[in-house]
This record gives sequence, structure tokens and C-alpha cells, in this order.
Amino acid sequence: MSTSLIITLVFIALMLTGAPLFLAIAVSTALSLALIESGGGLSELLALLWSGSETIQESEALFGVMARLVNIPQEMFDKTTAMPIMIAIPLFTLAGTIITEGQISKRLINIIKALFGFLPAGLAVAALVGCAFFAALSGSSAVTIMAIGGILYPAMMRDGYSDRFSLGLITTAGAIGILAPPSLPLIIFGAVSQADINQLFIAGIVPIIVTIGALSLYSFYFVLTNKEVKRERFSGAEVLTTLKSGVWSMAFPLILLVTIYGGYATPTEASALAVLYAIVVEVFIHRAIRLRDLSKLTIETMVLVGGILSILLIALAFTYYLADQQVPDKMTALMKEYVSSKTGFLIAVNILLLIVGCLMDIFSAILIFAPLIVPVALAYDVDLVHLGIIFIINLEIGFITPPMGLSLFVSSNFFRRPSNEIIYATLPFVIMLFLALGVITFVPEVSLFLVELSKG
Amino acid sequence: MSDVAVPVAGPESEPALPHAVPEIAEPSQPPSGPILRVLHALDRLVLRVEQGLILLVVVVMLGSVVIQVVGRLLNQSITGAMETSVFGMLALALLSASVTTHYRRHISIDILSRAIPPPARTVLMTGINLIGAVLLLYLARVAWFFMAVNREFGDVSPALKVPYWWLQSLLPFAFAVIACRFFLHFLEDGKRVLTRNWLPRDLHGHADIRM
Repeated sequence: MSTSLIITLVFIALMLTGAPLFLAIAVSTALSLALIESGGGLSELLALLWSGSETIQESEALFGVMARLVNIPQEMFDKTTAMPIMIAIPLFTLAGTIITEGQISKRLINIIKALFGFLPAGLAVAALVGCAFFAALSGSSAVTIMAIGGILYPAMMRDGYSDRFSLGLITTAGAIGILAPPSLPLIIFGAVSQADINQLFIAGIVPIIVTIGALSLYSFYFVLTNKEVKRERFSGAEVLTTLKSGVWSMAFPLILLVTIYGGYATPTEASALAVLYAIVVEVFIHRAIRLRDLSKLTIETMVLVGGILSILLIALAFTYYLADQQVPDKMTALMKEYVSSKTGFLIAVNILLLIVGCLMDIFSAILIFAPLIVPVALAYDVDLVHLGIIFIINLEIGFITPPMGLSLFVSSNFFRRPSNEIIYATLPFVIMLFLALGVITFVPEVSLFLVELSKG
Repeated sequence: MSDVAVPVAGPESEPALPHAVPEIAEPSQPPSGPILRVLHALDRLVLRVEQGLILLVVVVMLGSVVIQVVGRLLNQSITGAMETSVFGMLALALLSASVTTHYRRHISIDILSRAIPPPARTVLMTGINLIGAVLLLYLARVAWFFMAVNREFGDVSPALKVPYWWLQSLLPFAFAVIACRFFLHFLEDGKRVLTRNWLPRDLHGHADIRM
């Protein structure tokens, strides 16, 4: 059996049996490096480990295995210290936790509802925009569904939207915000692929508008064909009240956007500023969080972040194995045998990522598949930033696709409905997302137009 | 699928926003016994130290990044600010990975482990925890070797002039602590197998967390 096949089988077996993903990657990486050093055969490696260091040759061979495995801590150390952008991952997550536990997010949603609610399909559009904002700021599609669902679902039912439409819209919309800055998936993609994070952020703007636009189009169609849907009444007083109470909340995304896009701060620096701003506003202005609760929130956040960072650390060592064994080169050669055009490659990547997105969480999927796909994509002359956007949109569709779509299960629990009902409700929205994905994949300018503009 | 606490929507009500992160709690009623009680006490002690260090590192990271921004606005270069935060990041990654292991909250895909009956799942998790303990222990040894070699070279960081091996020594310690935690989980789950006290549904081993 070849080394690659053994590694793949071990990885899949561990992954499916519920082992922590970081452990599955670590076992596969360590085993692959040990197999290479011991001559490539599992039996040779087992024999070596079994016999121990009885002879000088065996001692040297065992030392060789350890010397090869040193690449794991070395890659972890060297690459972590060479990627300051990783600092943004825990800090943005912490900022998201603070504003969700506090009042910033809720007040922002109220503003969006007051501003858009009176338009045709206004409440639906408010839900979409609110979800995009909320998911971007909180970093969590699950929390977005519960937060927006809790506020807008009763309002949509009251205004005559059907139960199925409302459930489908809120479940779908929970996933779409992860493309908007400060998008952690984009940061992780940038860290792994060496793509410029600022350019990725800029590139995500139009695709997110396209996605919201596609879902809004279906919402307009629904409202046109369902006369029982009422419009919210416009209330200037409500707009003023929500704006007044939400001044500090509106400043939060503005500060992020201005500092990052204006070039005043790197995404890493913006993440630290976001945490400080969130603390000041929620603790001292909104008084929604007590100072002493911050330590508990920080620890809880870091338990969550630890799950991501442990995969990130070991994935850095995994990429060493891939490079050492020239896996991407071999994959490129294999791919070129069967797929001759860039379009064909993009179709293949979309299919692969959609399948991966249905089975795997977004962070693990990026960490495992980006090092494999990026070199192949470059061989097909696909822009790295464009590829990043395609990656995220495919994986976010995975949130609402069975069998592992997280949003489906969160929605099913939250709204107390069977999963099948939720899957059926999201179907028209998934079709619209596929259309948006097609546009974003095959018209690279949608992602790259603003990037080119920003370069001057 | 998710370990995010999912509240239920009430009719026409406006519920409080859900928690952004799941509330963390000690795994429910782990099997006890004289040896396990001592090991749990030690584990909790290490956990308290780690939690304190996490808070310290987050504050230091925040401070150094903010100092860097302020310094740039004032056209001043603050020596070592970025290096401090990068080194803090490494420490935070290792500490949080260790704490995540304590709470069994690593990201995992549990298609099979959820589908199989609790006895088989408990046996499966016992085996996985043993694999984790053995591998992480070996990696701790390898990381120690890596640190010792670099200590011989005596390289220091460019800005703070900190010997690199100081930072690299975090790796074997973190791997060793994580290995011990996997071993503790192996003992807990092993005892569950022996006493037929199967893993509860909400403690299938390691939580699936998807954001």
C-alpha cells in the first residue's frame, strides 16, 4: 500500500469516528513523515518501532524518524511567528462575543429593521441585511439565526409572510454574512494561502451584495405573488429613536471598515481596536456587561478559539508534508490530464468544495483544502483572491445543505421544526445562492473589480 | 450537531440574544475513584493556571497591538510591540488548545460516532483518547529535542533579543499537558466501559463546533 493511501485512509477513519480533527491531521502528518523516513512501508515502520534500538542501525533509524518529526514543532513555530495576521483570529472572535453578549448587535438590527421594514419585501430585506451585519460582527451563523430569528421571525409572521418562507429566509441568511469583514474564514484563507487579507476583504464586498441581491430578488417575487403580505408602517419617530440609541453601535462597523479599508490599521490592529471599542461601549456606555464578566467571556471565547487554533497549528505542519512530497505538483499534473480549461477547473473546485462544505466545518475545510487547491488553481491561472471568495461562498452554502449543514440543525432546534421542513423551506434560497455562486465564479470581475480599483 | 446552546423561539416574544459562545461547563459527572479524583484535582489546578495565563496573554497582546497603532500615529516605532503580540499569539494558541482539550471541545466530525450505540461510542472514544495521549507525548519529546537543538544554536529574536528556545520550550510543555489530558480522558472513558456507564449523548467525546 502506498504511503499516500495509508495516510488518506487513516485520516478518513479517524475523522469519521469523531476524533478531534487536529488529532486526525496530527496522526496523519506524523505517520506520513515517519513512513517516509523508515523507507515507505508500514510493516518496516512497525518492525522498527517494535524492535526498538537494539542495534546501532535501529538506533540511527529511530533517531532519523524523530529528526524528521522535528519538522512538526519547527513548522508550527516558524510559521506562527511569521504570520502576525493570526492574532486577528482570537481578537475578532472576542470582539464578536462581547458585542453579542452586550447591546451593540441588537441595536444595529433594530436600526436596520426601522430603515428597511416599510419597503416592499422590506422586512425580508431587513432580515438579510441584518443577518449579514450580525454574522460578520458576531462571526457565528448559529448565533445569527437565533438572534435575527428571535427578533424578525415573529414580525414577519405578523406581516403575513408564510411560515415556510420566513424559516427558509432566516436559516439561509444566517450563513451569508461570513464573507463580510472582519470575516475569520477570509483571514484564515489569507493566512494559509498568503493572499493579501485587505484585498480579500475588498473583494468580498460586491459578492456579498450579489448574494443579498439574489435572495432579495426571490423575496420580491414572493411578496408579488402573495398578496396577504403587509408592509411595515414607516415611522420617523422609530427611526430616530433607534438611531439615537444605536449611535455607538453604528460606529462599531464604521470604525472597522474605515480603519481597514482606509489603510489606517491592518486587520490585526483593527481586531485589537474592535475589542477595546466593544469593551468601552458595552461596559461603560451601554452598561450591558459588567467588567468582572469580561474574564469569563474571554475564557469561554478562547475555549472556542482553541478548537480552531489547534487545527491551524497542526495544519501548518501538514502543509510541510504536502510541500515535501510535492503533493500539489502531483495533483496539478493529475488534474491537467483530465481538465484542460480554467472553466473546467473552476467547475471541479466548486463541486469539491460544495461536497466538503456539506461534511466539514468551514475552518477545517479551509485549513485542509486550501494548501492542496491553491497551487493547482495558480497553475490554471486563477486569481488567488478570486479563489478565496469562491472558497468561502461554497463553504457557506454548505451551512444550509444536508447532511451536515449546521444552520439547518440550529434552525430546527430553535424553531422546533423537523429538519426536513427546514431543508424544504431553504430550497428556493439555496437555488438563488447557486445562481449567485455561478455569477461570482465565472465572472471574476465581480470579486476583482474593486480590488483593481483600490490598486489605482 | 452544534454545541451552541439553542434556545427555543417563543410566539411573538423577543427573546434575549443567545450566547455568542457556548457556556462552558465541566463534563457532567465524570467517573470517580481515588486515582481519578486526584488526577481531576491536578487537572483543575493546571486549568486555573492556564486560564490566568490566557487572560494575561490576551491583555498583553491587546496592549502591544494598541501601542503599535498609537506609535505609528505618532510616527514612533515601538521596538518589540509586534514581536510581543506574535509570541503572545503562539502562547495563546497552545494554552487555548490545552484548555479546549480539558473541556473536550475540539472540533470534530461525528457522523459515525453519533450513529453508533453508546457502548460502541464509548469504546471508540477510549481508543481515540489513547491514540491522542501516545501521539502528543511523543510529539512533546520531539518538540523538546527541537528546543534543545535550538538552544545550542543560541538564536535570539530580532527586536526583543529573547532567546528563541524560551518560546520554543512552550511547545513540549503544551504537548505534554494535552497528552496528560487525553490520558485522563482515556482513564475516564475506560472506566465507563468497565462499569457500563456509557458516554452521555451530549458528551460524545469531542464537541462539533461550527461557526
